[in-house]
Amino acid sequence: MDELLLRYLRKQTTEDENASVDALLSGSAEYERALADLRRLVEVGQVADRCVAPGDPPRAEDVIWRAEARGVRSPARGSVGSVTRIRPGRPRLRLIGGLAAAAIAAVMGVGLWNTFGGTGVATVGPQEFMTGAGETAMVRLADGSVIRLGPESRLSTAAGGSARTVTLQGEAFFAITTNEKQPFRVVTAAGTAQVLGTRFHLAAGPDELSVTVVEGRVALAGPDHEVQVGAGQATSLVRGRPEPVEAAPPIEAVAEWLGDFLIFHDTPLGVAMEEVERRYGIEVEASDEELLDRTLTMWFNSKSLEEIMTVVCGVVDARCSIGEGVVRIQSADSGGGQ
Amino acid sequence: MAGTDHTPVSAEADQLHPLMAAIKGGSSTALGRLMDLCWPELVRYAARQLRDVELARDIVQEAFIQIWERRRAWRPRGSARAYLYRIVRHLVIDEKRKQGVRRRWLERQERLDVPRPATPAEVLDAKVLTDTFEAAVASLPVRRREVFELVFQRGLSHAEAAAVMDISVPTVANQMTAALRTVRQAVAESEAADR
Repeated sequence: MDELLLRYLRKQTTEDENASVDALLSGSAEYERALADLRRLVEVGQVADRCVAPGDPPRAEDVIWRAEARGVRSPARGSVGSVTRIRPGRPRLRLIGGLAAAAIAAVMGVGLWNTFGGTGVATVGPQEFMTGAGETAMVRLADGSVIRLGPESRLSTAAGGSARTVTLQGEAFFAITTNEKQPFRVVTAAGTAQVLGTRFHLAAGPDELSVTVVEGRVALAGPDHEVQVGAGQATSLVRGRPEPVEAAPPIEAVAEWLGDFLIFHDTPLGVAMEEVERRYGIEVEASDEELLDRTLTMWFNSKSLEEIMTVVCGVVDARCSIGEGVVRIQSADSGGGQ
Repeated sequence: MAGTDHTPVSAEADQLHPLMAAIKGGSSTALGRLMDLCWPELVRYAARQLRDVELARDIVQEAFIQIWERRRAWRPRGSARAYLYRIVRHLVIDEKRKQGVRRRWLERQERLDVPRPATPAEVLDAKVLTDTFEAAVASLPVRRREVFELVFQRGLSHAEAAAVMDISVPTVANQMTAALRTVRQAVAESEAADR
């Protein structure tokens, strides 16, 4: 009877069942009382249930990515103790990705960009890069990914630089192109980092692998543990075990050797401008939110704010002005302008 | 969007089979829809077992990862809803076995989500009743408590709860009757004492 009354209260009963419950209720004060008690109990149960705030689910793509990434590594199934949950996130708009790529090619022709170079690249073999003290190097892979190699570090790529796997000793900053079918892997002595497409810094020692994620997500994996790190977060694998994930300091504090180097890879303008604000101590204002979702793929080395904004605004098809510590960005088709 | 309701999933249960079929065919959209529909229910179920909502979210995320991993093996037999609960239940059991039940409750401000501003007296009454309810549920034997959570709190049918727990339907009915008697009596006594 209780099951029937419960379903009746939840409006899950059929018409026939409704009729029999109604008949029971009209013929007996006892049933009426039982139903009232049950209704009260359901209300209390609902209040108790509301004490748990379930939050929003992660995005389906993130769940699939986790499943596929795990399929590559084939870990023990069913273990959640060492896995950090994917945080719910807004899907990124890529309004003018194609336009940005085309514009970049044009911009490179006017010479505002640094080519590879860096300072002091030492190539040990066709796929190995090594830096000494105070040196940095730029490595561009065939898939368009860019790696800024830090001082006293070594990076090896597979033949032709086309495979999505590199090995690292020391530290580097990565800007990796998105390829959902082929995650990018950085193999180090202390663990492996795996990504689909993102910007992040890695410092790899013999026993410790530290990551600071600027954009996207990175999964660090040791022999028995895995931890996933999102944008603005940092953590380490120490002797294969993950440390707690924490809020990351600004990337320029983590990797001072980056200096005035800026790199964006499918980066929303809003995210890119936050970095420009920090780096140049200015404020950026945009005329509308749609502008901030346009993406940038470019890098700058020791360029002035004016040079950077000239390129950026050309790529996102906007008008820019700089004055009194404020950069103003306005859609080129908005009719205003300064 | 998820997280906005208190409606048991059963109202939408008939949507779950087509979604599972689409997931089996590799549809990420179907997976997203399934997560939107079932996330609140499953997180609440796991959270009430583990007394840790963050861990519950991790568990349910893991469940959806496993659903995707095993999608090709899914067969449209029985209740799709019971299938989801079964996966979450196994993960909860694993977690309890591995780490022991974590007893820390959520911060009060995160736990309370009353639908309208209430008077202090109402808040106090609700808290007393809720605490009584929780204490009564917690006092139930393990299997009886689990039946109560699935049927009373989550709205599963007796047949679905039996499938989730791998026990018979009459056993679910018997456990449910006994659980209701205990919880109903505790709440009634609390209300009587308050008058």
